[in-house]
Amino acid sequence: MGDLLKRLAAPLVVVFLILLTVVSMVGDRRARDTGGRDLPWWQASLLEVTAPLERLLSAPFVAVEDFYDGYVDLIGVRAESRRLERRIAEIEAENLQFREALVASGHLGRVASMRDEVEIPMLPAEVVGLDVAPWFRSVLVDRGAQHGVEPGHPVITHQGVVGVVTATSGHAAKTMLLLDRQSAVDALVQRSRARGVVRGVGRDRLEFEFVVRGADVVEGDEVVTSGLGGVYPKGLRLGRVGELQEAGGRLTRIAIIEPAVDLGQLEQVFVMLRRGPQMDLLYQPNLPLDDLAGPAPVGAAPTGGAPGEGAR
Amino acid sequence: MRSVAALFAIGVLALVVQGALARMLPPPWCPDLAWLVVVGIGLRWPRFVSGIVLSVVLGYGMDLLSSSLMGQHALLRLVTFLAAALAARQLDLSGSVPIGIFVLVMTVVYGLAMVLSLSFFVDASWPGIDVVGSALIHALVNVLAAGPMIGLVERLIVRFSDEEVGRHGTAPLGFDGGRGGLL
Repeated sequence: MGDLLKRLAAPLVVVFLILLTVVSMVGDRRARDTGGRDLPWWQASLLEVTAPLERLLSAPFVAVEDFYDGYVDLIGVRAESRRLERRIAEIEAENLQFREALVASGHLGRVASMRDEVEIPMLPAEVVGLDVAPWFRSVLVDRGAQHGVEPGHPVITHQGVVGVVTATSGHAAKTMLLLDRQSAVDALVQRSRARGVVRGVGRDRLEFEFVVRGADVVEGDEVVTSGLGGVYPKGLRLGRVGELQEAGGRLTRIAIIEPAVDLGQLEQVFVMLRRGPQMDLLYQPNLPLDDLAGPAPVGAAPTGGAPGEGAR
Repeated sequence: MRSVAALFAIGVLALVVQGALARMLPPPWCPDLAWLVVVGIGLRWPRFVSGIVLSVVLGYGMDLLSSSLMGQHALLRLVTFLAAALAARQLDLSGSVPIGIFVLVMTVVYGLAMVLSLSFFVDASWPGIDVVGSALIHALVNVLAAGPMIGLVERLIVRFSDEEVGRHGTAPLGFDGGRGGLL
């Protein structure tokens, strides 16, 4: 009996470990469907230890990189300053026109009354680690559950969307980037309002899949979040259409998107401490005032929208 | 026991260093040091059960620092360990060239298995030809890093095995000088 057990020990351990890993994968898949998860204590502990260690070890690399970037940036700073001054003037003019339009349509008062409800608090965070596997795209940020970060919270920069928080520990959060193969975001073309889904393909670009019939998408179009997926608020920049692929007789067509954010050079990001749908109220100008009363409280579970935005 | 702790420590350290390197090197160019530790354990570690458990634990560590599904790296590292242990018993992998070829092939297989398993579990897009290109680049980088990493694992195993032999008076359970032990 003892010999038999000894002989069976190794195969039994192998079978047990295979089952364990498969069950873990299925469990994780289900957790992501519901917006992510707080890590169990033993995983959270490991993340708590590795996040500051990674930050420490990468500090010399980052310092050299910053010095080089600073030098290169200095070269074109005067031309850049002039360009930005012109751009600010243009934006101020545009802003004035929008405000005029809002006043004319009577929506300004309603927007102002909603301001407190729709303003989403944002938490600045620093990227302390990148994905250690070449087949995935995620970053580790130095803010976690103790700072109010929860799985499913969107992460952005001033340029646009970065990704979504998928797991948290006390002082760190794992954020899946838009580029990851598991990422899918409900999106629309800003100019024509054509809707589709922006997917990560594991490379430095995104794919925008949209229905061919009636869709007006051309190179250079800005693609923004639609607000319908339940994770991202409406109107956040995802990227610009770089190339259109032929439909080849299919119902859907793919446009290659250049991400709005340089996701390979992330340093500072903002975690939106509330999920998106409440923000959609701003973009429904025909909604009666009564419908806008009593918005969902901060942190309320999202309602409506396509399930599974953020992670497929 | 100290040898297991030392291998675990070197595996975690490899993960952390790899994370720091990832800030400088774009994805296919960053070596998978933690995976190479698992390969080293599979090739040189004589204790089968503790080796496979260690590989799975290090795989979970990798899953934690990556956006993979929890258990995905763990499963593939288990397979890597089995392949390495089997290869060490069936083939002569004592030189750097055979090890380089083994690492090259295993990295490509690992990458494709990772992407395919992702497509199966999360309805991700199917891999294109570019994935094979990335896998090949990653494989070459891993081959370059394989010598130092597997050498480090080997030195650790020899050192701590010697200490354990000295302390207990006999070879540790299953240790037969480099090959063949089960537990």
